[in-house]
Amino acid sequence: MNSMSSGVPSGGKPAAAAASAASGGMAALRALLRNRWIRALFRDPLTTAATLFLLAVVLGAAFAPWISPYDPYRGVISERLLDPGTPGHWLGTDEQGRDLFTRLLYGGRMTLLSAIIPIGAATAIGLTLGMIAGHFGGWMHTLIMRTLDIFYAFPAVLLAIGVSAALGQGMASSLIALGIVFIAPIARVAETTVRKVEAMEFVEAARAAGASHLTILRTQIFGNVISSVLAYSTTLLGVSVILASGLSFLGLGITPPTAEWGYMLNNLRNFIYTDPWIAIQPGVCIFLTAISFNLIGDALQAAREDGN
Amino acid sequence: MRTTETNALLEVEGLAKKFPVQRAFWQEKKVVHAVNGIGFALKPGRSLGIVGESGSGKSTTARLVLRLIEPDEGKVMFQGRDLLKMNRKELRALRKDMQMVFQDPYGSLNPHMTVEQLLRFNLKVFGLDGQGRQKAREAMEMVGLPERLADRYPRDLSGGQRQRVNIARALITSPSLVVADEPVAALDKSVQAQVLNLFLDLQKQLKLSCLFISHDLNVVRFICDEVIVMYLGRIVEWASSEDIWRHPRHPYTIALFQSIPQVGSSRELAQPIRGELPSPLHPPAGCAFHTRCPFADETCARERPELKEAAAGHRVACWMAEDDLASRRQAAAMLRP
Repeated sequence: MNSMSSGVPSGGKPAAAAASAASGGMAALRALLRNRWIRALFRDPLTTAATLFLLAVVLGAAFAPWISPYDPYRGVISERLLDPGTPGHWLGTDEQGRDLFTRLLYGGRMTLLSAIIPIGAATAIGLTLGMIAGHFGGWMHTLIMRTLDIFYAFPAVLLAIGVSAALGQGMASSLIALGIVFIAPIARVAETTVRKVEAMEFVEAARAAGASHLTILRTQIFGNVISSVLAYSTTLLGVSVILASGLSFLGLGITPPTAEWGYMLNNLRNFIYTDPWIAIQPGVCIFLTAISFNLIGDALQAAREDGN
Repeated sequence: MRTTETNALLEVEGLAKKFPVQRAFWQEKKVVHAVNGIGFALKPGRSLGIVGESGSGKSTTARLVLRLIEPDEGKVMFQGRDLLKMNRKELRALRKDMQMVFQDPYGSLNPHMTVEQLLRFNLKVFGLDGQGRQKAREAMEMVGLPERLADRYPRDLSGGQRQRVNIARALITSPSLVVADEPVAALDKSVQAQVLNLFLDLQKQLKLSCLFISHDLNVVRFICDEVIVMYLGRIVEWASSEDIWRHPRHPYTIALFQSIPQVGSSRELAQPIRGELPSPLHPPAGCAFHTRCPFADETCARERPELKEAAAGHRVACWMAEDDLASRRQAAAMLRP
């Protein structure tokens, strides 16, 4: 750390401050690169490609207005279905003349939201339910797990469609529906892990030390369960993307003219024989995003196992 | 088993616990009486050893005494108060005074907590964490752990070091009762000696009352003032350490001592106890040991002997031990090489 003797004016102050900021930044970067999880994301060429692709989707979604000047919602009808490679529209235009690249960028926002929000909420809820069921046992365990079994019994797609249809059209209802779908499997993984941790002697030691239930859950159980649950959750991100796109495809998700890959896929499928290079693009994006999430989830899970 | 010690720190009476065993719901419900009518007393500053084979119920007893498992029957009086009548809050507050040292050095420490965090956790539970760092350091010093290990995780420590952490953790709230469940069973013999010496020193220094569970008779002989021998959930003999070694009276105890391998003795092989441990699901009628006892007769097969004083301060549950002369003869017969 730099220490300046007081009262000594120095022309080198700003330079020294910048230098220390830079060295601080370098140290932070080095710490980041040493981090087990960050290294896992770049463990082999395929995983690296997945990480970079997702990074591109995130950045594209975040900076879409600055990257592309086109309006994603209103198009020039006379310019519909232009081929990719047309000057000014490097990926072509859709059936309403909207620039496809722009639509894909904005669609990325919806896709990322429909992955992260439902999984995030389901993880929080599922983890809580799993910890309560696994720790307290007895009637609480039976009540929670058997109720979750009801949800577990439905195929994910069917459940998502059912809940989404019941809640009405719109992004919010599809996000809620997806969240509900994932609570049961996550809670199940959480409960199994909690039961395994409960059997360990250090939990008994904490009980023998006189800790209350809440203290035990917070200090002993949570830390040992969270990594397993998160590793499992990340593998579900890809599934969520596919399901969300499916819901939009069926008209249950977003409302037009929102850009969303599944919805775009539905609109463009009529043109698959005439303009295949346009029609497949949303599908390719869905596919790549889902696979990237899966690869990253695998990498993180492997990193977790190495750490144990 | 009635005790007459009124100044005992810990008094246990008629303690019993059974576990249901059922393979499938259509099979009849069977029950294992893990602990079946145990009673003993522990005076302040004394150490009591409980020995027995696996399945004798000694570990269950340890946990029942601390009420980590709920007993089915019985009384556990600690510092004159009945543990089993307390509500959860009172019980939790009392845990400051009665701590446990666990057997498994690898499973009994949370892998995500440093040594200092592990020690201070026990303090924090009771709000005693003011100057927690210092107290943790002192505890580490007391058990002979170098200070540099304070920020280490259990995976960086050896088995012996982990057990020292276990001991430090148990002692950090200055309890008056320490229950040790086979604390050295998982350690190498050389490390065992170190940890046992530590235990003995601490016990003397801090004037602890200690309940020491072990299957290893040599360990118990070294550490304990009094010894209880358990078999299939019951006490078969209870005497002072010296007495039980000099003059074991119950055939099971005698057989146990005989089965200890002796280096350099005239016997070439250790003498295993003949017969097999009966299934705890179907304990034998009468005396539980009669199926393996060389002295058993029809009384033994029919009626269960109660724990009775056969000599001053020496209690046995055996029909054959009632007559002092008879038991002396039998002991002599069995110990002859």
